[in-house]
Amino acid sequence: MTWLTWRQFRAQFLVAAAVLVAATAYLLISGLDLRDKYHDLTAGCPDGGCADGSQLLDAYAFPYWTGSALVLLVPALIGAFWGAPLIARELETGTYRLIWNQGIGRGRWLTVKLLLVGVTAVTVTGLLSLLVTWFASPLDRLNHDRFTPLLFASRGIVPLGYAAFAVALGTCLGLFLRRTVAAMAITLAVFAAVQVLVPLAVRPHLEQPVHSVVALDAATLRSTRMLGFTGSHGPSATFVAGIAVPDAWMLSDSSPIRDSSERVLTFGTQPCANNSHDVPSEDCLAHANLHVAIDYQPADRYWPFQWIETAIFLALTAALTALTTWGLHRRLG
Amino acid sequence: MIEFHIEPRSGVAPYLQLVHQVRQALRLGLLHQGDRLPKVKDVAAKVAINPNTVLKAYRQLENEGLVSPKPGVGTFVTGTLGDPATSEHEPLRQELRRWLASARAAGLDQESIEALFQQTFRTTVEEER
Amino acid sequence: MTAIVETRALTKRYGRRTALADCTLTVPAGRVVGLVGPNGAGKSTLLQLACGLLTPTSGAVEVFGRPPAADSAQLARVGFVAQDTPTYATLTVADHLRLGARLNPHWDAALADRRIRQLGLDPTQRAGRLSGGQRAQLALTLAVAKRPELLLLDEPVAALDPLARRAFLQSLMEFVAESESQATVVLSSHLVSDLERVCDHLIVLADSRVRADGEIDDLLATHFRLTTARRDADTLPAGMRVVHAEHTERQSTFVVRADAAVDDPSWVMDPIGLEDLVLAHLESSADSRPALEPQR
Repeated sequence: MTWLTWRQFRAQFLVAAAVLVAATAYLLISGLDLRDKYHDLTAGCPDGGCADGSQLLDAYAFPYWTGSALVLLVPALIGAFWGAPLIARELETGTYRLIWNQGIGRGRWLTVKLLLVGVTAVTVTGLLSLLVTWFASPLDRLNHDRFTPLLFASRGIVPLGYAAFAVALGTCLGLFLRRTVAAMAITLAVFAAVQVLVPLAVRPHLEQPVHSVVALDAATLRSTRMLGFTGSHGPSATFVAGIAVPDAWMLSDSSPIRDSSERVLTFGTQPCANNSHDVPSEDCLAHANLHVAIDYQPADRYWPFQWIETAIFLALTAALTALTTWGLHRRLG
Repeated sequence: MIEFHIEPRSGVAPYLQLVHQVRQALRLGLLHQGDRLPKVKDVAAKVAINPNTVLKAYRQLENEGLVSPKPGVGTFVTGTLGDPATSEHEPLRQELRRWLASARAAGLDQESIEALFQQTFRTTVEEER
Repeated sequence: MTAIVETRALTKRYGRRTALADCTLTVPAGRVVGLVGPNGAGKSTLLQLACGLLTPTSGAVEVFGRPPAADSAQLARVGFVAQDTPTYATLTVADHLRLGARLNPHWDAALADRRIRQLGLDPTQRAGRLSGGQRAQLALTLAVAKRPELLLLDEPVAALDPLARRAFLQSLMEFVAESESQATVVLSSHLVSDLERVCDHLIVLADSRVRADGEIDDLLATHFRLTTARRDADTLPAGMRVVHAEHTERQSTFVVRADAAVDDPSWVMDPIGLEDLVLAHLESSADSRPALEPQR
């Protein structure tokens, strides 16, 4: 059975291997080069804390973003091109009537197929994730943003969970839809929906976010990511500031600025107003005794979150596999 | 050795067709005493016919005393079918020809002649029973 | 007579559509059984129930006294050649044999190789590029080389040209003649002439009921066509069961079942060919169908 699965799966695997080899060669060369430049840039300041990484990031923007995108994309493609046809193609071409009458149970047939394809999918994605994580680590150290949704999903161990989930999802949909192309399309759609839904609705709540009130002093004001008014100008526009905590995941881009009496400031009520500028000067604001409330997941939760999310996706994988096994014996029977 | 064939639309059971063909071959002198009949397996594969059917035909021939099986070797022709010398046939044939001529003269066409012959033949056989 | 396949009130529904209803039959051991019936009579459903590809909606089917496809040992005892003989288009002939060898405990590699050689198939050829007849032969090879005790074939020759059909049946009969403890074969077809050559037992299925069931020789010896002046079926002597009757103004034609021909100057009673015999049973089932059901 292993041989047959391998024989049927060979072409897809070779494509994946070719992509992996190409990606490895490119990111390895690019990554070693990046490390030289990173050492030059951060010479003398520990943890790159004093260096400005924007230039380095600009120079390596292409491998950085394509690498990250690849790690996100590969599980989806694996689910659609490996998972979906696994059973659907047998049903579509009628070969299930050949293979399910050999001297091997339907259950074992599925187990071997799923194991071989699933393990390969996880391995390929894992290698790719490892490679991209390694390549991007200097830039991630400079940017302090690896906890943000896109980068969180393309680093570490969560991609392994995504890959396993994608294979199980594609296989299950293939079984119930009985059409390869339909199963591929719906696998892609469902996987994309899950990838949007999880960082929006699930991941923020894996642990109670840290809530803290930050005073807008001179140092904080200098490091804000943004400062200004929401929406169109007018009395309803809120005066907001975006605060960044290094390596943490900020759950909101910006927060309303409040004064000492907890009043939310809006356009027209903000202090330090002047006629020539919409946004007051930082120097003036620093003395106005203002503060903002922020919610975030701190940096030290990065790895616990990686493990928890991986476990969630592996549990989903197990549930889908159980459903597939049940369907294989029940629904087609 | 002889070759068998099956005519599916004849209404005659396939095993009987095989029996007839062996008898025919004996009558025509295509098979002699001591000849071996084709192996069951070969007939089955060649004619695309059930081996049980072949076995049944051979058993029937055995019952009629025409063949006998030698275990492990094959089935051999042991009997003969009365093939009276052609000299005995000749007067009968002459008579039949004369009868056919008179039937034609009486205005019977080919089908009527055949029907008449078949009917008379069958009733005669049944009366003799 | 041991039963290899036994069904009791076997029923299969797909949603509202009933594919097989209340079917009870027995397949005797060591026979080549022809399963004949009109399209939609449930032949394919019955065979797929027997090999475990489908599970019954109600009723029961047993193969060797156990549920079909109960475990891998049971699967190894049953060979199945599905309708349209599916094979893996991208796998070669040799790959298919390897597949069979790896998945079946009693695989007869010598038999498989010999058959492929005899058929003149190129082992490196992809199955997708084989002709229909060659593909059918490959599927048959896979099914027989696992040395099954029961071989089920679902309309294996329906899509083949006459030459390929004959070649397929020759291969099938060779397998039957070669199998040591004779295998039981069930073959569905609507080509009665093919079934007559290769089967020794016939089951006529119509509206999922068994209309006739028996050794072909017995069936042929006990069915007659009786042509007579117009008369009603119930005026025929006892011992004759009318299978099918047709009347014109002056003449009645019956297909009857009787132990032997009965001589009577008022009728002609002739043996009947298998095809007409089967047709008579199928037509009689159509006659007895409730009037509300539309005839297809």
